[in-house]
Formats: sequence, structure tokens, C-alpha cells
Amino acid sequence: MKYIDEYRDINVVKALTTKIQKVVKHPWNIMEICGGQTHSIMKYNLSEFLPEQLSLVHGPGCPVCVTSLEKIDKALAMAQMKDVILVSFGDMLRVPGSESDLLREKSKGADVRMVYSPLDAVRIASDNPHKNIVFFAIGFETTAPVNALSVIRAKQLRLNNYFILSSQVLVPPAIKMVLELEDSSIQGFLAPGHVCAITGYNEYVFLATKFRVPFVITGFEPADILKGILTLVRQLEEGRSEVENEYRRVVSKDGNQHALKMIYDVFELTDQEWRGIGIIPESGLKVREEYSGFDAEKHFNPGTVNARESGTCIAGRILQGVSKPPECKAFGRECIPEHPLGAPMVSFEGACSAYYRYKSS
Amino acid sequence: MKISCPLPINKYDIVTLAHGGGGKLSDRLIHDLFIRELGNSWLNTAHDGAVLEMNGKIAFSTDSFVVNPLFFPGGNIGDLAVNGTVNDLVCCGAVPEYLSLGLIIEEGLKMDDLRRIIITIKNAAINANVNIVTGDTKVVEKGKGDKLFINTSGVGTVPEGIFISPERCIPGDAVIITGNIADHGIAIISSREGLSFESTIRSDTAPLNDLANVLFEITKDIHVLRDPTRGGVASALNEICNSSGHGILLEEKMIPVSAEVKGACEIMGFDPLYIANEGKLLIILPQKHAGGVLRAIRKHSLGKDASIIGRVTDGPPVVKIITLVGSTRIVDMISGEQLPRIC
Amino acid sequence: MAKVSFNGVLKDISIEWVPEAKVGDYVVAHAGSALTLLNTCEAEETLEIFRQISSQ
Repeated sequence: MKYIDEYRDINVVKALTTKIQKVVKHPWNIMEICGGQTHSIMKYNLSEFLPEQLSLVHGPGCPVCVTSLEKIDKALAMAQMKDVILVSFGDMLRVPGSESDLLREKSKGADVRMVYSPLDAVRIASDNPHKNIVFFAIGFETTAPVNALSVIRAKQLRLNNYFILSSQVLVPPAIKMVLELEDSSIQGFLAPGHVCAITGYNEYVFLATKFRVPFVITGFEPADILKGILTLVRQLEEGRSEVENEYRRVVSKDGNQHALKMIYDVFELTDQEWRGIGIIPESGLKVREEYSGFDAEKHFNPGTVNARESGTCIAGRILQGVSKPPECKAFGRECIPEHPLGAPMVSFEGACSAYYRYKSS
Repeated sequence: MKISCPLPINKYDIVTLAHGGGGKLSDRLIHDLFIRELGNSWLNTAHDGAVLEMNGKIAFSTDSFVVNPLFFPGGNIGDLAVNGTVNDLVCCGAVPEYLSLGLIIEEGLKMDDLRRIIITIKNAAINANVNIVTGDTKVVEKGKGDKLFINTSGVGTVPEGIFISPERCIPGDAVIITGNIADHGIAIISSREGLSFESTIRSDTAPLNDLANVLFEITKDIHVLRDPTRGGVASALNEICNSSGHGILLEEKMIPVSAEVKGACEIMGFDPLYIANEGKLLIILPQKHAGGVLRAIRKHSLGKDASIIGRVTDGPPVVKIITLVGSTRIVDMISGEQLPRIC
Repeated sequence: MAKVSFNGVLKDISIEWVPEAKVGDYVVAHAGSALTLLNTCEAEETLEIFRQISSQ
């Protein structure tokens, strides 16, 4: 596959590894905040190539993992309603709510469907005029534009049966939260390449200056990630705290303004609960008043849900990079992919699932 | 007063509860469709069972088939029902001979669809050189069955000198796959609402007994045969590890995947190692025979992309893989189906 | 909407935010939409850097 395979070249990976080994002189903790990067790091076991002094911490970049328990319980409540088709991305289907998950509700008779794109959900709405279609709109800034587009399309088609349940989150407030933690040890960040393709990276320049922490905009293939790490540790060893772009073939400083405009035409900032972490101010997106006719929470009003998290699950600490999955008492015992206690064990990008599946014993 | 139904079978455009009721309509269905298409000396007697003459060690396998959609690129549930059990028998080292055919039909299934599937079953059986000798049909109420469930059970004889079992694999054995992986699973996904895409990917459903004959002509010293269906190559190899107590080490660059399947997996975020195959064999055999077997298989139409993908190792019963970039990671057993990833 | 080929597999993808895309261009696709065009000059530059690193 052109422009993909070349970034998986074994010789390039070996050469970058050698360079990293030469550059690293001190111990460093670095974090990637992107589920796709976590997945790639695990799939290619890139930690195997890194010197021991380098600790790679997996941050809260998995939109599935950070969707609040309350939102999931609302999705479950809506799925159980008569004449509702609950439509979702695949990886949300197994995430446990307080008492159930969407797959289980499907097996009990709820109409729960999986799609590749919210635009497919709009098509389902158009094809099923007598049903109400609720699309569970999760995602970071990468997915927000197409979630917004789905609302605009529904409006253009004059659909009155398409709704979105928004659980969208933003990366920079999460980074700020991580850096402001009392026991934060993260010294540098690999910034998410596809989020930055949309947003650009001006906000990261602000964060780098304020917190004096370096950022490297990084892609997803093994060579991209190792190049990102190399550039980041060079900054750390040289005492710099700048933003450098190692994903220039995709990311520009100002991002995609057209996509950004669409996000903020349909959505606005809101305080958002991150599962296991708590409320992060202005870290989420909710449907604007002008589009409230498409807001599932306003239309269905599923009421307050008594969301109850497992007492043993330390997902919050793992998502913030403060603990690693093997440090959790339940990891590999009560909490395994077949019966997960928390979201990071369910989602393929979740740190716990990735550790469980991919780490050599 | 006797109530009889005067309409011939082809006047019904859907299957009804009465077709499974054991009365005249059932009888019509059996004779006008099943026996008409599948008829042979056993089925024609329309008896409760078939009496067979077989010699030697008998292999016996059963499998049930549930697929959505029923018709997919490259085949339909009928192909899977015949080839699936034929291949299970092949994996026991047997020559497949006789199958049973059990249908559970949901009320409302289109008669045309049922006819198409039965004709497919007929052709698949001919292609696989097996006979369907007994069967059963039930019809359930609408909503109680996902259009059609099929069970096939099969028997075959195991020739002298052949002993296939996962416990037989030993460290040093080579692991061969007979062709490109993940075709079937991706073909199914490509025809599902919400995930569909355009491609030429077709299910690889095929009977593997002829290919197995090629294999046994080279050597009878084959340790394990497995068809990696649900859960893909990764799950099949994990099961073999658990049974044998040995590990398996794969090499990612040796695993054959077609270009389009790679593309589809990139879109969905799937790992082809976990995706179903319906016309592939995993062969575990002594390293010394691997080259000869590979050459022979590659000459067969179902084996042209065959590849040696790894070997059996000492150590814990875990499947590991050397990735494209030279690192090693574990290939775990998946829990549940792979779901398309958002990130 | 545009037809995007993923190694021969075709999918309809929205090019709402990359209206300048033309046949033959590479895009980064996500959840049914194209995020950006691939800057092939930068891609080649990155690969050249990798080649140099590999030969050192």
C-alpha cells in the first residue's frame, strides 16, 4: 500500500532505533495521547526497540475508553426504547455500562446497529422514517467534523428522526489535566496526528510554552512513531520545549479550517465528564441550540441515570498515565477482555486490553 | 373430514409453518424440492435414517451454520454447510463420504431463496464428492430463527497410516497455510449494511479433500490439520497450542493476504489473523517435508498462494509473531468478534 | 462524495473538507470522511530522510 508500507520498513525502523539508543542519556517519561498510536505501539511492540530509560505511557486518547458511564447508560436506555434504532461505531458495542452493554441489549431484542460512518446512520434514518435513529457520536476532533456533517445532512434531507447522543472530547484539555496532576511525571508528548490534521497545532504551542513541555506531532506507522520519539527525546536531552511536526505529509499548523468551521457550526464547547477521570472543563462538544432538534438527550430525556462504576477498576489512573495496567489488582484476573470491569480493557486501543493482548509474557 | 392442501409446492412463495408440520405440505416440500434436487438411493427411500457400509476407522463431525447475509459474494449458506463439514472431516485425516442435512427454517423465508440454497448444496456435494444421505426439516415461527439455520454432520474413513491430532505437533514442526487469509470474513462484512464497500473480494468457501489428497501423496506424516474458520488463523493456532502444550512462532511477512483484503482491514481496523476462512487449511508437519508439500500444494488451484508461515516451538503454549518490523509480540485468542475500530 | 480506493477496495467517502481533491490524489480517510489530502511532496521528503538515516 503506497504511502503506508514504506513507513513499516524494517530497515528504517532499525536505523531509527539505533539513533534513539544513541540520543537517550537520561530517563524520560513520554506519553502518547491517541488510541491509534497506542494500537500501533502495541501491534508492532515498539517498546521492544526503546532503551530502558524511556518509559512510554499511554494517555487518555481512546474515545471509547473515556466516554462517561452516564452517557453509556443513556445510550442503553435509548436502545431499549420502542421504535429506536441505536447506531454506533463498532468498538462501543462491548463497553460495559452500569449493568449492561449495547451488544447485550441487542441480544435481548434491541435494534442496535454498527456503522463505519455517521453518514451511514443518516441513511438508516432516511430508510426508516417511522423509527427514531440515535447515533452514539463519540470521538475526538478527528471524528467531530463528520459527526457534525451528519447533522447537517439530516437537516438538508429534512429528517425529523435523526438524533445524535454526543460524547465528543477534545485533546488539549486532557493534556492540560495530565500536566496539572499532582503526581504527573510526563515530560513530553507525542501529539495525535489525525486530530492535528483537523485542528492544527497552535493550541499545542500554547501548552508547550505554558508548561515548558515538548510536543511532537506524530503519525501512526512504526517509522512515524519512532521518528516522533526520536525528535521528542532530542528535545528533552537538549532541554527544549517546542512543538515540532513529524507528520508533515498530513498535518499543517492551522489544520483544516473548513472542517473546524463545521464542527463549531453544529457543536459548542461544554464541560465533559471523562470516564474514570472526572469533569474536565470545556473539554467536550455538545449540540448547539440551533440544532437542538437533533440532540438525542433533549428529545428523549432519558433522565438521571444512577451510573455505578466497579470499585476495583482503576481506569482513571491508567488513562491519566499515573498507573500501568499490571499495577491494577483486577488486571488479568476479574478483569480480562471476556469480562471487563472498565473500558480500557474492552476497547482495542485501551491500555489494559493492549497490555493484555500484546505484551510478551 | 380430511383437510388437504391442493396447491403444489411451487405455488408458495414463502415457507410457512405448515411446511414443517409433518403433513401433506411437509411431504410436498420434501419430495418436490429436497428429493427432487438432492435425490439418491438413500434419500429416495424417505426413511428415518440411512444405512451405510464403511470400513476401517471412522471420523464423525458435526457443524451448524448461521450466517448473515445468507447470500454473499462467492457463495451462500449452502456452500458453507457442505464444505464446512467436509473440511472438518478432512482435518480428522478422513476421506469425507456421507453427510446429513438438518434445516431449521424461519417462517417467511422466500421459497426461491430456499430453492437456490438447496441447489447450491446439491452442487457443493457433487463438487466435494460426498453424498447427502439423510435429513430433517423444521419450520419455526417468525422471529424465532434468523431466516435459516443449517446443521450438517458427516462421516468419512481415515486411511491407514494417517493420524491427525493437535497433540502430535512437536517443536520444530513447520506451519503452512494453503493460501490467502481472511477472504471469507471480509466478503461477509462487505455485504452487511453499515459496513459495506465495493470490492472483488469473494468468500473462499471450498472443499479441501482434493487438496488434502495431494498432501498425503507426498507424506502421510502430517501432524495437524485445521481449517481456520471463526476466529481465524490466530484462534485456530491458539487452540492447537493449548491442546499440544507447545508454542507457535509466526512470521508476519510470510502470511499471505490479498491486496484488497489488506485494504479492507485498513478501513475497518481489523487484523486479518482473526478473520474467518472457509477454504484454507493450516498444516503442521515435520520440517523435512515442508518444502515438498508446499511445492505440491502450490500446483493445486486451491493452494497457489500457500506459504510456510511459522514453526512450532518449545515453551509456553502461546502464539507469537515476528512483526514486519522485526519485533515479537503475542497473538492472543480473541474474545468475541472483532469490531471495527473508530481510531 | 468521492470514491476512494483502499488498495483496490472502493468506499464512498465525503470530501466535504477537501473539495480540491482530484482523481489520483491520496487522502487520509476516517469514519467516512477525508480529513486532509496527503501532501506527497512532504511524504517523499520524509521517505528521503528515512533513506538517509538508514544508510548512515
